[in-house]
Amino acid sequence: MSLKYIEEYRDASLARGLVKKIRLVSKKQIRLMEVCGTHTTSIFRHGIRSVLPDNITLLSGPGCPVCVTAQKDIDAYVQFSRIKDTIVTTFGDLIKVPGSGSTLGKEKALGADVRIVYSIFDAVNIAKENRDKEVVFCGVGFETTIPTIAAGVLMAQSQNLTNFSVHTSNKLTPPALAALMEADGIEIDGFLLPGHVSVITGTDAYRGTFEKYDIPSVISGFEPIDILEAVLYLVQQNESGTPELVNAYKRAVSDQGNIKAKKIMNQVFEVCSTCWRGLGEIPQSGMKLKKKYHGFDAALKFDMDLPDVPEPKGCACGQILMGLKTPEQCGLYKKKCTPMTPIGPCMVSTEGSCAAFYKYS
Amino acid sequence: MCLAVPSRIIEINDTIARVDVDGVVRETSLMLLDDPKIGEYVIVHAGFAINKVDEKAALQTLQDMRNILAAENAGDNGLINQQ
Ligand code: SF4
Repeated sequence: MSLKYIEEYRDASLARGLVKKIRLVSKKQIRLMEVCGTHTTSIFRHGIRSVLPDNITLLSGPGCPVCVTAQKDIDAYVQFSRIKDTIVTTFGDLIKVPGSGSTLGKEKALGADVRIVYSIFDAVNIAKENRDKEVVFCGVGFETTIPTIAAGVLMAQSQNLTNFSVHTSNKLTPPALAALMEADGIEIDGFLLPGHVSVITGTDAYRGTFEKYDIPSVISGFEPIDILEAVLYLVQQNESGTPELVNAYKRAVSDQGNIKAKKIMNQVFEVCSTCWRGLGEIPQSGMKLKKKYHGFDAALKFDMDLPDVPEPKGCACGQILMGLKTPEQCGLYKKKCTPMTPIGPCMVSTEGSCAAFYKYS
Repeated sequence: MCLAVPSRIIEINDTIARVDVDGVVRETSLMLLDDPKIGEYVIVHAGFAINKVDEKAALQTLQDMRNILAAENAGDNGLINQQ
């Protein structure tokens, strides 16, 4: 069986045609931000930066979930793993992220029961099989992941798993875009909007930000043709001076998004303000458990106090996430900070800009 | 975090499906999907099918782009011929 919609969207002659067209149309110096970490990796993997003309700069925005997770949340994961008879379950990327003192990986090496899961589904099953232990799921993610965490909580509830709880660091994309547009010194001429976040939110979710800031915005898929097509639209809008909100990922994204997923998400969670690493507190940009589900809130269950902690000295992750610096402009990059010895989260996650720069440049 | 490759539903048991991605079969929850059917392509994220892939739209996008580029090439040739 072939990979459906993959080969077609990697077609070399179509890609060459799009690059040629972009080079023909693009005159202005523009800075485009890809908001999603999966875009960042795809752009590097397919060598898209190298085929674009020099007047187009691609910036990696705050779309790598691990990279924007506040240090105090990482510290909380470490603390959960130190509680007796507790199993911490988490996505793989989080295991190496440094908190202020330790990482989940280090705690595991010291004997803590930390398990990497592919889905919250697996975490619920671990709770079912280990009723004599507490199971905490540590989850970070955007709109794509939040409904899956909500579904996991509902699953645990329907199975009466009182030994299951979650500590989430849920983040919402549109408020972060608005916060970026309001930040000092920001120069962004267009957003390459995240494909799979948009599968859930739908195109309509960006309309408010788009109308307020009048900025070219194109929802894109993840294959080379998808990304080049979106870049072409952003270039055309910049050249003609007519910003638009375009859905260029119609095979997966609708205007309203996935209504069922949104319903489950809103059943379990409610909007709150939350702290983004590097960006600080952004109002209405997170989602916390509704009161009805507080029994599943790990921080409440274990009565955990989560003080704010300063971010590592010299790490420029915050400015990188805002497109104000490139990884090479961080004094620690490739010196003290490497994928083997990461200092900030942008070097830990495979989707982080620093890690992507390190791997591909 | 995202698996951008569409997976094909090959079996449905209540809210769990078996999906195939290029010969690799995995289990995926259907809790977030409306009206899934065997044979349909879905996008899977963290163990959940989050949407179907619209076949018509997929083909239409490719065709639209070919049309834009074909018009462009025709224009190029015209220009060259005039010179
Ligand atoms: S290179 Fe390391 S220290 Fe510098 S910004 Fe990136 S993650 Fe932070």
